[in-house]
Amino acid sequence: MKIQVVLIGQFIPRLGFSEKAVKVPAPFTAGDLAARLGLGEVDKVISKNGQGIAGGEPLKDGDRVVIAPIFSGG
Amino acid sequence: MSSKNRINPLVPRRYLRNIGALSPGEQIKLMGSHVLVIGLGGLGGYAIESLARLGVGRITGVDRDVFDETNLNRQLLSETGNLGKSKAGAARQRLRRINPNVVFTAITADFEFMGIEAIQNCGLVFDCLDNIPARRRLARRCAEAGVTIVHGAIAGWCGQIAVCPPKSQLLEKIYAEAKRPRGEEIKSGNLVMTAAVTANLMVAAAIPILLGQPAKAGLHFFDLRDWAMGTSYHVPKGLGNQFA
Repeated sequence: MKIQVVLIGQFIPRLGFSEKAVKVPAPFTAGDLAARLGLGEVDKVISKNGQGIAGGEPLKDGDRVVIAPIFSGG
Repeated sequence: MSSKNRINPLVPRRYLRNIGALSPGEQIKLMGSHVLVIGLGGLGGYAIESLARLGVGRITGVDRDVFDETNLNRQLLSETGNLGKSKAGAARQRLRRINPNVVFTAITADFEFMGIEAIQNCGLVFDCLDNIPARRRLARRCAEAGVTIVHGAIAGWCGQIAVCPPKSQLLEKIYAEAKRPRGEEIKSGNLVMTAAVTANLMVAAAIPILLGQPAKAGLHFFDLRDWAMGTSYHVPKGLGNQFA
């Protein structure tokens, strides 16, 4: 299945893209996707189709997943 | 009130250039509103400046810290002459100079000393803090008080704002996976443009809420280096989003 992945901030230069379709096998979770991208151990915010999700959330074909770093400066 | 005010005799002349973007009735409503700003550093300094110039009638500013040299790169209220001085005190002095019509209460203490009632007395809370544990504590406090948070956070060229209705648990969700007390800013630092833009996006997001209008609840990111802005995270209707 194809997942549309959108990256925010420092993840873009780190992974070398801002948005692209990623082909993954089913079943596949958001945590699996982050690990596949090398972001498994990184603090992050993940949303799927505009809703915040935890790493164990299953993905389905066509989902749009946004992965952002944690920002907390003031 | 000036006789030159031809728009509405109830709108003070100092707010005339707000009119058009705001109706006279909306301006008067803002003059009757009260915002609690937690944190008077990079975000909070710009936030109170804009809230006061807009004409928000009452602002309570809370910060336990004093200025140090590392604040000078971005914090509007910091000056070489007030290093070592209270941030809340500097906020009071600046607002007195730019808009003495604003009733500003300066509190030099941790926000947690404030009771639930004191939070409820404000129509809206600005989260201008700089670390995740404190933000989580503020979110719990505001959920208990039933008050909406306008959240802002920055790191380098990037920032985020979120409108968090009290039942949404949005801040808890945003920081659910955070294992450390601080985020990307540890590596990226905090730039003045990012602080100013984020604070003013927070103020823009707050205006509809203060006016009782629909607001964009959810989490919104931007990256000033790439001129990019987007929403990643909505608050669904029915999940405490009384504005949508």
